[in-house]
Amino acid sequence: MNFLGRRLIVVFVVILAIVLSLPNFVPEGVRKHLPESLQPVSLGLDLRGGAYLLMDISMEQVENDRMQQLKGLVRQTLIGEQGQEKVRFESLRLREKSVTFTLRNPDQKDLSIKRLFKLGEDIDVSDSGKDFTVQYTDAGWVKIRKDVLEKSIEIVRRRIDALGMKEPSIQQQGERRLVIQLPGVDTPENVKALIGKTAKMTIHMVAEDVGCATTISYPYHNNPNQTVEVCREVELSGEYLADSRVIYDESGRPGVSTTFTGIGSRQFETLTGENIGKRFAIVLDGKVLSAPTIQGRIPGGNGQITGSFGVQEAKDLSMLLRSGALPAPLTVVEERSVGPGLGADSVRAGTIACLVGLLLVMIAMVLIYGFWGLIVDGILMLNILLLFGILSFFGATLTLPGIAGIVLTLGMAVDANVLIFDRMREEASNGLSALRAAQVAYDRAFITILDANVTTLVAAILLFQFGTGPIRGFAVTLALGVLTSMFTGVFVSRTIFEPKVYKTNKMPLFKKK
Amino acid sequence: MNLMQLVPITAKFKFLKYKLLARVISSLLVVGSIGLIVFKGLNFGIDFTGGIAVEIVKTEGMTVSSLRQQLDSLNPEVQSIGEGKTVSIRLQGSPDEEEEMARLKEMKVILGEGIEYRSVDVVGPKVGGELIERGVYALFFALLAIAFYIWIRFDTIFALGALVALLHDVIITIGFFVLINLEFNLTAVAAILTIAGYSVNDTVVVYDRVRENMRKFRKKEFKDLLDLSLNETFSRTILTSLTTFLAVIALVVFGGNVLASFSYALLFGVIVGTYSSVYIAVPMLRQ
Repeated sequence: MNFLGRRLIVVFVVILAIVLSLPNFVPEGVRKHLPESLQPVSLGLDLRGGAYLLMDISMEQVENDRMQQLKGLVRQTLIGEQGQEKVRFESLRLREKSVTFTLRNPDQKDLSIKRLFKLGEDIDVSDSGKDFTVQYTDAGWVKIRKDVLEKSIEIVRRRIDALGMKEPSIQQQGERRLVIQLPGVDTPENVKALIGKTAKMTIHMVAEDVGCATTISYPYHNNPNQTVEVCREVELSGEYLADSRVIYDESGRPGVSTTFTGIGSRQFETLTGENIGKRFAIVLDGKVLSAPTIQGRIPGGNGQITGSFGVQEAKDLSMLLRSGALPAPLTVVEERSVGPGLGADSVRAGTIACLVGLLLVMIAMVLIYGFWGLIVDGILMLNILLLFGILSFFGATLTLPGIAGIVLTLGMAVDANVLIFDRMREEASNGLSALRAAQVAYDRAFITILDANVTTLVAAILLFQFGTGPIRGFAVTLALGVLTSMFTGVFVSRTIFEPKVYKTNKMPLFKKK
Repeated sequence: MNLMQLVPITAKFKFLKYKLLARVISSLLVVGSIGLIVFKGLNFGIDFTGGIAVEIVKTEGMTVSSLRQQLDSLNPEVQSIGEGKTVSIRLQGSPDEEEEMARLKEMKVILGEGIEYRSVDVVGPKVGGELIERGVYALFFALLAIAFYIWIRFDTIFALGALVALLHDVIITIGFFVLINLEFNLTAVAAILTIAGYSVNDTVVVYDRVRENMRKFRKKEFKDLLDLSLNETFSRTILTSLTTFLAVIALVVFGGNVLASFSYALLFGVIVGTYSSVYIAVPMLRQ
């Protein structure tokens, strides 16, 4: 019976388990000097405190905007550039997810198709004689949604970084959701207010001063009852902003500076140069920030927005302008935040439950199996260390339900040994020698243990698949617990027990007559 | 001398003799649970209904009734928890996310500055619906997958027996939630899945022995064979249930408020799961 190889593996696993789980038991000061791969298991937001926000991107809004835009594009394309032949059409309409129009002159069909074809491969043009339908292809919509999602994540990240949060995490979930996790933030009110803002800035001329075809009214940001009527046409938009900072005017009132990029600054210069003495309105998310009168041409792309801002308001505004506009509105659809008090309480409760559970099971083992029970206890400890070691090494997140999973694993982990000991006793009573009984028991019980554990594993995997946040933490510890307890309960236990039975010719719970 | 030597290696209980009695009891429990679920209804948490739930630390002079009065316009459910040191406030969900966030803000404004929020949970109406859906899917697929595994490893009748026992456990556990008015939330779904895993674990151990004995004793009467298998695995069934029970007790006593519904459900589930393996899953094989 050569167990040397097995023993070496067990020794190796014991050392590995101790080394990997050690960071969980050393004081904070020592942890800092440990290498990156040796860190304690990271705690979930429910244990360390923090905020979890699930944001929904309004894809309906995106679709709407895109269709409006498409309608405009179709009109422009059909009319063509100056000097080109105009396509004459009527009843250009926006239907659900398509733009339709009718040609006045059927002879222009080929020309229309040729021009509309230039809109790109994501746009599909079909016609039945004079009636045309233009729409985005399915692939086109997929691309649009993906772009919006990526852009949203990027902008939210910029804003959160600007707010100076530590260790924030922003992840995409599904096709239109973002999960934002902010450790240490227990009242995320200002975060919610700031990351949800679209921050779409546009500059319009005030209608009264220039006169224009279509106008729109916006209320002032600080007085919803006072509105300004402006031209619908956008003179300059926030896309061309390069930077924005908080500034103070001569009398110490806060405002923000705006610096435009190259193209933007030329546009701004033309706009200001051509409209001296007239007013323009700076509109953010449908509200007028200010509507100053243009005093003279402004070269270099530097502008200022002063109005009636508080200091904080000016700070937030400059941050929003700097980080850019969200492609679509974001709404918080789920929020979970845990304060530091509750988190600490949960850690304490979980630790105590774990220790007491461990102690109870260990005592039970000794009461039942005597000396052999002590060895089972040793194997159980190894199981716990191994579980913690693996969780730490792979950077898994421990949640409160996860701790419950560990406690539960404790109770179920000894099952393997119970099954094997029971079987040994039975085989020996059938007349087998102690060693033979042990061998048969291990061989036979392994199949049972495998079948029994696979079913638990199945439940754990489905929990992970369908669960969220803390529940996933539970599924992970449960599944890992099943795997480690199978390894310790079968492999490690056999390596220790079989030679022992061979040497002493004794076995748990059974005295040779 | 130790305890387990008192338990015979192979017990000689006549489990199947009580098959009928067990069937009557289980049927009553299942019907009773369904009745409770239908007529009394589950105490759904905000995970499923949507809404707002916060826990705050009591400040001086703050009482449950004073809070109720203060927040009257929001129509809150206020409850003292955690040995009276903290208060939980629940507001009903609204059909619109923005409105819900506005209600949270309003509550925070009314309560004023200097309040310690231990936890804030807001679940929007859309997410609530999705979470229910996911919970139901998880449960459905778990039962199906477990039954499938047993069907592959054993036989059709075994899969059927395990499935019936699992459904029995799941329904009675949900009935238990209604009976003691435990909040039914995502954690509760996790608890039920865990119970399913535990229960089937127990069942598989006995089934495994039945399968082995079927090869060993080809001529034995099936009823006696089942009894024999149950008896042979009996000391293991008791021991493992005991250790798991002990661990879960630790969870119930020390695990704290947040885990309460999870821990109680598990405690109940360990008992039901053990019972159903012996009295439902195995007798089902003899049809």
